[in-house]
Amino acid sequence: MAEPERLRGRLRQGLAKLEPGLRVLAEDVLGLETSLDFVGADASGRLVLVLVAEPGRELEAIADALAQSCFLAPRVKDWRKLAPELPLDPERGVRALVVAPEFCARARAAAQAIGRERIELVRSRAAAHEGAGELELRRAAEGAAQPLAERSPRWPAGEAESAFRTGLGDADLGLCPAERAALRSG
Amino acid sequence: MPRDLGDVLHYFFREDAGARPAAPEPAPPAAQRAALPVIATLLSERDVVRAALLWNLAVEIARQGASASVVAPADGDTSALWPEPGRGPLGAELVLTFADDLAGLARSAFEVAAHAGASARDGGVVLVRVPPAWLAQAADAAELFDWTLLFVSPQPRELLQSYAVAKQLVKACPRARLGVTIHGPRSVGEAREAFDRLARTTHRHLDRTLASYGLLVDDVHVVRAIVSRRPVGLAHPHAAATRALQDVARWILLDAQAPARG
Repeated sequence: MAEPERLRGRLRQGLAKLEPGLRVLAEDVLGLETSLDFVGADASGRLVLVLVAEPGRELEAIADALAQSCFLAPRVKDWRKLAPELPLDPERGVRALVVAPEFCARARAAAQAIGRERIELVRSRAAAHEGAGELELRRAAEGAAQPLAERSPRWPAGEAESAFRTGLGDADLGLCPAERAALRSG
Repeated sequence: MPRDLGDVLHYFFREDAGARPAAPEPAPPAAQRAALPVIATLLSERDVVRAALLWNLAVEIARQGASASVVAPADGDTSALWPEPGRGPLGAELVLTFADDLAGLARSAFEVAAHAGASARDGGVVLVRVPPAWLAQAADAAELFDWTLLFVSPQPRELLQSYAVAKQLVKACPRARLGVTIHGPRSVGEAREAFDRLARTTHRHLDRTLASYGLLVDDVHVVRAIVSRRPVGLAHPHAAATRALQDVARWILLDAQAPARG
């Protein structure tokens, strides 16, 4: 098996552990001028784009992820029309995971400014288990040395922006319309 | 920008070892590992649903590979709230302490945090059940509320009560950071609206920013889990309640692993 394919396979396994609800829909697909390592759907039906950063160019990968997200967002509806079976909700938009072993302070600050709802940094580490290589993926903590309470966007200063965080959509709540109606009337 | 995985292969695996991946970095010696963050939660002795959510959250955190302990006072009959103390599913731990006041509970919690931190390779948290009646002593153990998580249902009365708790906490513990998980919403929009209402009021009147820790579903699977004492995530891995627990556990671990906490 070719090395990139092997790495992609390990990344896929790592992603499954990182986010069990994430379903990979396509690998190595053409995005805006360049190829995207993975495109998937999370448990809420949101399109998830996964990019592997080149060493030392994590900041560039974040910018690329932002551009590719903007490229993909208006296309989700079309994909859904072409393939209704895809577990995608066009209303949920697009988020990106940028994968690298390490992220510099500038990359973390940039991701923090964009917001975790749109871009998350994922640290990778090779792990050896019984001779079979695995990639261990963990979400990187954003920010450098700021106290937790000062970090945005979950701690916004203003009142207009919602800081509510969830990776779930209404479909994840498992309530049918009849149950919702009964709860409302109750 | 090169977008071929072959360009970055060497970045993930050692090239000189052929297909063999690099060994993982050794974890720091136990003595150098920091105590785990402690998260205080307010639960009354009759709050079976929230206790079930808390315990199931601990199990989910453990399932995600982190250390998870729940510390609770052993006051009265605890069998309605908790499973048997000790190590439970996936290593999640329940510690019942004979502390009869908040200071004693805080001591126990930080002891567990230090002990668990020494053996936790991948971090984790210690979740502490604080009886609401003990909140009057909050100033005696202010550090216990450095990170506080409130489980709040979207009902207006609950929002009001939660705001009152937040106000009391902020007054007694100026360093307290407050997080909120909305439980039992009928929709994500309802959860968001409830959180936003509480966050706006807290910001405006208490000058504090609430952190969101998502939403939890208290559906039939949670009730069954209470009765059967089997964690939702293990008994019903594809249930809505399980997905929600995974999501909340993820947010908590994300913040627990932040450098500022280290």
